[in-house]
Amino acid sequence: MVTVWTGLLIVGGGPGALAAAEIASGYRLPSLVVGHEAGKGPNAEFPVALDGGAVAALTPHGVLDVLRPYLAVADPPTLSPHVFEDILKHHCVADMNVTVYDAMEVTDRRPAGAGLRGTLTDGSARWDVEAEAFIDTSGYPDGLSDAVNRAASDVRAVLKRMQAG
Amino acid sequence: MPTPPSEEQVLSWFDDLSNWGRWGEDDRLGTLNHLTPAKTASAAQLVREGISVSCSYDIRTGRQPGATVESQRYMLSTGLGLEEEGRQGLMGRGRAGGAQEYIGMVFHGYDVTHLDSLAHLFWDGKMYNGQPASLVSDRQGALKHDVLAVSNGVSTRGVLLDIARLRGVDVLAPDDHVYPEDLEAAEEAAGVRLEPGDVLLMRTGESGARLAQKKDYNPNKPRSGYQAACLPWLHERGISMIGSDVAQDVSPAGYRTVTMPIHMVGIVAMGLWLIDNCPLEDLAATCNRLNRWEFQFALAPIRFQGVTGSPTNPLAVF
Repeated sequence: MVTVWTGLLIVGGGPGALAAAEIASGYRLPSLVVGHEAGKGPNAEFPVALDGGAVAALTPHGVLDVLRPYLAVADPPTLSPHVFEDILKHHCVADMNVTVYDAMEVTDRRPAGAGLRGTLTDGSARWDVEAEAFIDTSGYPDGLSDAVNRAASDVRAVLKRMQAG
Repeated sequence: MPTPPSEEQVLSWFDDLSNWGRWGEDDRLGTLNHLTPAKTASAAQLVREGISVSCSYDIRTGRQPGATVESQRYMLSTGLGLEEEGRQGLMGRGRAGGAQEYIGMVFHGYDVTHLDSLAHLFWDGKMYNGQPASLVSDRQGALKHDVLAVSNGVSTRGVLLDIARLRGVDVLAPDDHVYPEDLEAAEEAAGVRLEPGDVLLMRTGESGARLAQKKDYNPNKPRSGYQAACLPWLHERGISMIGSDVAQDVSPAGYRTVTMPIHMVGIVAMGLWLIDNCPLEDLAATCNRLNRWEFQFALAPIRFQGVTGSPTNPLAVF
């Protein structure tokens, strides 16, 4: 069985998953986003302003620039979580540091050092997956800024641990 | 299934399969050097029935599966309202009218049928033939290895190797990868042998799934394609260009450092020209009907200066 290696495995979906992948990519940390589905928060279609923390997290490496043409309001950057995910998803697919596999899951998860091992499957085919680090965004807050801030915090923690290790 | 080559083996091919310097320090053609005038002339003899088959998807606006950015079309002038007397259109007052538009797209990705130029990818900061990656810049685009290298187009013998047909399936499973042994088995089944200067089109059946599922098609998934083991085979056979109904590489490839070995070793080391995302269902049907798996292949990229490839409409002519 082919082993899929990645620096950062991201599961759980929602805007935080894509934000984490793009922030990690900015640091040249390759990631694998598995089973992403758009967040289903109650206000996913309503534009919301990104707070200072989210803007600071998305500005380096041009991530905010990707979103800029789609902003409902430029300052502060304002867009709906749905648009955020729609645009960033396509950007993730084009990003050579990010691999996106939809409609799949990672089963048989088990710790491997600071990372994780498991089985990547679409229900029929299977691959071993080995990640140096792991982020599960399923527990992230619904708010767009909160999710981005949490993603940035988690990626920073991963990078810090990798640098220390 | 054959054993996949190790990562060390694949990495060694950056040197062992390299064509850097083979056709001169300033070479821009890479594996298209295998294509000779005699080859082009002999390929024209394959046109007997007078049938032409497109191997390109439609380019559509709006969100499309696999599109990096949705293709854009802005009409600058249209025919709207021109039935009304006195309405002024594109060509001013009078009886004549016309329409024109702006179009924009990101053709790299999994949506648009496109040719990758040799400026598309870098390895260790270098392009094909040792050119520095920094020669592709924001301001000027690709100063080396842009798609103008093939301004005169490509006309040669094309061969379809239908691996899905060989397996007896509609579409290859994502973990069913294509090895040299499969290519040779398909050659035998088709009664053809790939020769220097040929274009190889390899069918996995993925385009059939995409065409059937339309906007419901999920492009973000593992998929079959050429396993990295095909690289020495392509090198030895002197193939000038490859295409398939996927973006060539299997995904996941299973290597840590070289996640797209066909793209990376092929383009950067070999100077191999790739045509990504060719729908091959019509071509396969025509080959089946005529019981002929070789044809004249024709491709003419748009002459974009400084661009790392081109959307294209490859043609198979019988």
